[in-house]
Amino acid sequence: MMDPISAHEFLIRNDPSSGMGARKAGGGDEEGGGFGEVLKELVKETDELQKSADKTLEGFADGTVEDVHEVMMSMNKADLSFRMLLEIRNKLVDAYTEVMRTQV
Amino acid sequence: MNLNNLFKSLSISASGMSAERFKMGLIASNIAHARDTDTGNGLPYRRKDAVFATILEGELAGGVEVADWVEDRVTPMQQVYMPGHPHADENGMVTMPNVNPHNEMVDMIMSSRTYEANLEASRIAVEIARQALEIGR
Repeated sequence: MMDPISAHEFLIRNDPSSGMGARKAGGGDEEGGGFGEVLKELVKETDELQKSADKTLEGFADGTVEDVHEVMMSMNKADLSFRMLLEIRNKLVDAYTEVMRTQV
Repeated sequence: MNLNNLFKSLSISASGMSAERFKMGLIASNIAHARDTDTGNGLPYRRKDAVFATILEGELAGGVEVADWVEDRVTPMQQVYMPGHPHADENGMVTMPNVNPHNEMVDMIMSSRTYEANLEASRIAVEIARQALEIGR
């Protein structure tokens, strides 16, 4: 997870009113990376966890992984990170539909 | 963003389970060899015990690992009078392993309960993470 300090830095960086992070409009992620970058990284990590869960399961089948709980743990990790990604995605879609419903 | 912090307690519980599983293997071996008078070198079996240690660095830092396993050289071997036994000495005494099955069973119960405790801790960690994700709904 994001630790509180980097979350704070993230907020400051993306707040256009704070002098430290002020940058031209439209350019959200040239340096440091914006929310998109964080999201991309999260997708990557979730993917990696899914792959490692697959690998442990395979290893258990061919005998290189001895512990059953190790398989279950890696599957749990993959499941949890995917759920987190799903929640974030749901929030984004919610926000998008909310904006689309705005009366002009 | 590093998801590993989210799973820290999960990994630590898993390391505890691995360690207990190893110890249970040694206890099973102790019980199985309780009457083993020749381990290949003419000497009777000696009780084995696991040595646990804290993992200090790496991804699993803070977890527990089996640092080593040692043979019990403190508990005396049992002498049994069995003149017809091929491993008996000139007085008819056979040196039996220093394994006491009662103690091994107690150790086994302790190991299995510790394993269950680790399992419960990891189950609760997963449950908490899931419930935390519900906040967004």
